[in-house]
Amino acid sequence: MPTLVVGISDCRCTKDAAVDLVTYALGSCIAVGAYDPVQGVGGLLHYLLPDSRQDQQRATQQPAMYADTGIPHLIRSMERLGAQRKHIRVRLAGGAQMVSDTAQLAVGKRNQLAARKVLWQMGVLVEMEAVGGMASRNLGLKVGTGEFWVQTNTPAEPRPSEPSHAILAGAR
Amino acid sequence: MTEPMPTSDTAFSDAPADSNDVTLSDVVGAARDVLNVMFFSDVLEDADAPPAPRPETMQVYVKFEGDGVGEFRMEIDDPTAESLAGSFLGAEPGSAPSPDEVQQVMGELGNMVCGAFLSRYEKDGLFSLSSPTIERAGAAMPSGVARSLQLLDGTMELRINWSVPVNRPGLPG
Amino acid sequence: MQSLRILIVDDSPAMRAYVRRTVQLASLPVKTVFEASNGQEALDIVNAENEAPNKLDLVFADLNMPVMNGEEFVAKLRANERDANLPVLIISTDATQRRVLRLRELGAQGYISKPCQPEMIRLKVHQILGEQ
Repeated sequence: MPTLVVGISDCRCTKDAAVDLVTYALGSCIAVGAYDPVQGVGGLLHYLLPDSRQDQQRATQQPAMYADTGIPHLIRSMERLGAQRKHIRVRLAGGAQMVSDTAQLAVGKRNQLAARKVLWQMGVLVEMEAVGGMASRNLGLKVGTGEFWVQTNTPAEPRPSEPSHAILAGAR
Repeated sequence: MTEPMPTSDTAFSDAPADSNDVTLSDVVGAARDVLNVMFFSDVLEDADAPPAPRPETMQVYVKFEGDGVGEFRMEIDDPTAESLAGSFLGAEPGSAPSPDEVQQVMGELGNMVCGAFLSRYEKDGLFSLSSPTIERAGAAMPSGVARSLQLLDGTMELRINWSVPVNRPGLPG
Repeated sequence: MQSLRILIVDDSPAMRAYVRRTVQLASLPVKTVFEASNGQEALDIVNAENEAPNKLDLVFADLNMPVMNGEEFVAKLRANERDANLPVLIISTDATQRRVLRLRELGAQGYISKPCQPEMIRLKVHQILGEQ
């Protein structure tokens, strides 16, 4: 079964039921996983920063870098593959507070606020989220079944990783 | 909690100075909660607010009574108000909410921050809140807690003034 | 859940808009959304609609409202046997324990304290309508 790895500032959408979409090492970044169960369209975005206004030229070349350009890009790309917005289910992962992050910048929290803001603008509610805290995460989606999984990494203290199909924390 | 006990003869005066610290962290925390959850904004820093409102601000008043009586006021400039109202309503980028909508959302923001503050300040208390009223030109409020908040979207001031402070030892009633 | 008829009671037009948007985005089969700005207006709508064959399915109500507040509204609603089982979900800033207990005694099915995410509203609606 082919695994399509979504890198940082990248976005992939597909109708191919054989594909698993996955993104790794989400620190303060956010991954937005989206799935339309009616049309079988899946999408995964891994964005770095909340707001494209800081570099609009960059955002034009690489919309998946920012929440406010990346999330519309994800949803519209899925719509081009036949997905309907009212059917799209969305899960979030990431937004952790990393060691390099300062309270003033709080990139993880800003990224989470931006995700929720843009999704509310676009009329998509969040089904579940695994965000915040200090640990990095991975997020995957089996396009064939619409099954999401999230893995929380604990690099500081090596131990058996948490179950790879850990239940996502419910939306607050 | 080591709150000074306001006795009955302190009613109708301002809350004791020491309780202002509690009020302060509760009012900033309440604002942060409401802004995070429903406005996708955040409080970056807070400082003492000037005694009189800045010119060109919208002022939202909420009166409350119950286990304590007082007044809450939020002052916010127009661009900040418009930005926050757009976020709350889910307005697409580039489509600004109408002036009426901005006023309605700011009324609701004031109401929620006041309510969230009272729930934090007095977890077991019962209060009723007035409908928010909105004015353009406000006077300085009597002494109380006044805080200026730097937000992701701009600036706002929050003021709380108790005319009858909560009588903490009297609870639960 | 078949086509739902929902009533939103809040004196804040902004909050009514927020709940309406949430309900519309929540993949609920909503057919009609009624709105009232206080408890008395809400009772008038309930009285008009619940005499008809297609009754209301759910009411969202605020607490602090002019003319008739949310507590009085719930009490009056429950006093009429016809509406004894009409689910009421309170959405209010007043999250004190005493208030929540009082509302439960009066017969409100659910309570959400503001600030609240739309997902919380959706969750409570599914819980309440799923239990029926």
